[in-house]
Amino acid sequence: MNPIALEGLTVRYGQRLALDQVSLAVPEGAVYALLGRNGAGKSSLVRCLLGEQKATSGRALLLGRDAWKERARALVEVGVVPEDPNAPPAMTARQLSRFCSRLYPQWDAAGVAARLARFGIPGDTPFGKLSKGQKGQVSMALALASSPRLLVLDDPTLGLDAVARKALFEELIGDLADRGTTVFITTHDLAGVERIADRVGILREGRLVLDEEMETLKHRFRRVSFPRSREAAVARLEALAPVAMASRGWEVEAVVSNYDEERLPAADGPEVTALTLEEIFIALTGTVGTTGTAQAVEEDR
Amino acid sequence: MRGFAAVLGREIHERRLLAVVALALGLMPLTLPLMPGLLPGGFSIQDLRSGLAFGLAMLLTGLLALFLGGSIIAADLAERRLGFYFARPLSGAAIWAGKTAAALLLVAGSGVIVLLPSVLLGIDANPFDVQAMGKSWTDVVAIWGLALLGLLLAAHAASLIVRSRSPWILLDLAALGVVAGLCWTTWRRLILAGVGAAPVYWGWHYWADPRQWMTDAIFLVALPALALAGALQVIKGRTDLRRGHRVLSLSLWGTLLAAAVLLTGFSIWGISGGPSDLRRIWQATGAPRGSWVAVVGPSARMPGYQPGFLYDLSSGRFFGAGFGAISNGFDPEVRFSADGRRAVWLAYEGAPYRSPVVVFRLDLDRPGAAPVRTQISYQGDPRTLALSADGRRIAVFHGYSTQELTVEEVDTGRLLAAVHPDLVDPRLIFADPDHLRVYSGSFGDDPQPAGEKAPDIFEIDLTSTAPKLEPTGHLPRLRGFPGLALSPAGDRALLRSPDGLGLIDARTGEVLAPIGDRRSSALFLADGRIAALGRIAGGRELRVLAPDGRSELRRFAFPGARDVVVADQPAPGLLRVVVSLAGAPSQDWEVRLLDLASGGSRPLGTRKLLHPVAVLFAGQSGLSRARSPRLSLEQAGGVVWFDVLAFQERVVLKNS
Repeated sequence: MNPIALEGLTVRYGQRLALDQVSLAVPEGAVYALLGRNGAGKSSLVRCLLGEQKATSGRALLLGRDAWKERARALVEVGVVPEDPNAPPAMTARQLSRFCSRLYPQWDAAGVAARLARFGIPGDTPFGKLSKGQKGQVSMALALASSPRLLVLDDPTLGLDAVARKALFEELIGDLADRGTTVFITTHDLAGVERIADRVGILREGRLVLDEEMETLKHRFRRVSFPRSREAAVARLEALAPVAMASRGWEVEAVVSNYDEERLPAADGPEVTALTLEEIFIALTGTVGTTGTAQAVEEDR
Repeated sequence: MRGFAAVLGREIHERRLLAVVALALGLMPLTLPLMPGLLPGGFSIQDLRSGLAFGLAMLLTGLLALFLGGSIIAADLAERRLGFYFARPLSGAAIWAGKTAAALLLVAGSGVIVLLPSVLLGIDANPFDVQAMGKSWTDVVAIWGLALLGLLLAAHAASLIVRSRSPWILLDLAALGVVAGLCWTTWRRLILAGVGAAPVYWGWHYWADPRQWMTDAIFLVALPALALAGALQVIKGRTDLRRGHRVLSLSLWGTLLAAAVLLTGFSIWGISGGPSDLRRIWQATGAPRGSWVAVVGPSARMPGYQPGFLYDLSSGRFFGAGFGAISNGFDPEVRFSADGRRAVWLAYEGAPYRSPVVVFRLDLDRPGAAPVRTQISYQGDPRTLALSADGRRIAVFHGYSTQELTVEEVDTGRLLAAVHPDLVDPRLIFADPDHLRVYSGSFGDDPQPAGEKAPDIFEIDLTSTAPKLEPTGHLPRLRGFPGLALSPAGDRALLRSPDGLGLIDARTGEVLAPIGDRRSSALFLADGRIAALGRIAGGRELRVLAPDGRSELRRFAFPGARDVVVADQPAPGLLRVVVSLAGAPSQDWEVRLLDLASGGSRPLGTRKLLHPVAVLFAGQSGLSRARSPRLSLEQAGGVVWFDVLAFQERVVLKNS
């Protein structure tokens, strides 16, 4: 059983389609990063996943349970770090921990205290008086305290400085190393998530345009450049499914989504470089047309 | 349950400072009256403390119910804090119930804390003396508690609707308008129909006013509707404010609209019944001739509704006549002409007690005739009325503070006489169409003390150029409520009281002849002679007296009779009576034809009759002329149609 399974999830706000037939599955122990530009539909997807919002059609399964109908039961084994830390402002981290301990069958209060100490957050400061980074860290400490099977993080690094982001990811990596928790994370911090994610999904205008193993993805996408005079080589690029192409002086530079060394002979003199996740994301969601990206998903499936 | 308790505890903990505020307010009644110049004249310190404690508790709980109702869920939702709960294994129901219960406990607890210092120091926190208002403390606490709950839930709904800033607010306003409109039109419909105007008991409850039970009904529906809508808003809407608004609106207005439509339908159905829908028939008056009757009784369909109907027993036609709301408890405020061809009655033009009373007429012998509103109306409440034998003139004594007796032409509304007499419990009767007679005086169960004025008799001569109330005599001093029946010519009257039965001059009150003891009865025959029924050893007797009441013309003895009732006078010289014999079943009545000239008595056979009733007598009680000899009101059965010619009877309207 996959901890997360989305089946044809569609969300519509009036005339606007926020999610369009999104289907994906996150296997046990995986770290799944869902990427997308602002307004791509990530928050709607997470709200549906956590049973806060009813999908227009389709369904979200959380640990095998219907997220809308059995939300409360499913969440017993889920830790959640929301996009906007939303605990009652008057409650201190210690009070929050005590409150949450009544809701979960197991609660590691000592673990919460230890994490807060690591983050340098005083346990008796009201939540409303903490900085945004500290709020995120408190949320993370609370999310991990119930030893969840699944951790859902909705853009947890939003608004955090580099130090706070690093601390958060380190905490996450530590927990993953300890218990192999399944993680579903949406984020704009692509560099950070690149280090931990082993599967990536990209949402664009409500559609899941990519859902792939990180390793495969990075192998598939390359930047290829060569002199413009090699017209034959330019023609051969089509076979590599370019998602972006630009002329720079005497050179042609392309990002291809189906790199195959054998289809691009050395005689063409190409210069091939690997891409970061961020570069792939920009290539897919920034300027390229829908056809190329859709093709990429289709090929991946 | 664990989730509910966790939410409840957290919400109360977050607002624990309210207890301090409440305590500070609770100390005010102890300290404030000590400040100079703050004690109003006529009040003691104890009064002021008591009033302050009670008032502050009411004020604080009311304000808190509004504030917490409007914020405890809606503010969290609007400020996106409710997601904290929804990211935990907490059901929507636990979140709603925990928060709502916390708000209620905070409101109630604050009220208790405000009252506590005063109660502990022995100050009476009951300045309004609720027991004197017919309520117990349990009633007051329950009513106030429910009111606070209603306030809290309503504040939540209103706050959520406003905070969502969704176009659905237009639907809310429209639905509110429709619900309010339906309730108002229903209320108005019931008021105009006179529901609640007359006292009607419904089981153990006294339904005085539709406003009261409608308010109860609306509250009883609105409270669970608000609770359900609030719960569904959290359970189904979750962290989505606009979705929550939609769920709340659909649930709330769906329930309230359904209830309002049901209430409207119920009100229309409840007041649209006929005579057969009367639960009991309390009053019935038959036309002297024909088959029309006027009946009044509580409706089986609608609590607090006492309609009046004009009902044709032979055809089944009926008209809702509106005199039920104005009925004085003795007779329907409806009168028939002597020929039974016209009915005239009083009814409120609009809301009872707040609108003029109007005279209506119905010509009963005209096919397809409908009630006609005449030009005659009265501002004050009518207290008694009389209709001339020809049905053309009506006399009404009306108004409590400005007593007025007016006589008008029914057809034209022309005022014939208007006087402002100082009358006590007056009874009116037309001696003839041109002369109205008024009997005025206090009657009671005790004998009138010596020296107290005997009941007066007045008369208005409508043929004079300036009609006025002229005293013509006094009734004999009597005990109890007298029955007075005028002779066909209006010159004499049979006066019956616990003191006995006698014949008097109807104009002067002069006693003409004693007729019998208090258990005797009598009636005028068509030619003015008197048939008097009395007891003899081992039976009954019927004496036929001359018009002066002194000379006995004939005597019929009924040995062994348990009861004798005069049924009718089929011919001037003949009288038909029914006799119940001692030892025989009570329903078996022997019919006999009496020949007044020869003194002969001929048996016509035995009939089974339910109740050959007292209304056959003119003058059994109250002030009357002849009434229908064909109508009986039997408490157990209903209205009984008694056909004298066929000597048969049937129940035409049952008490349900």
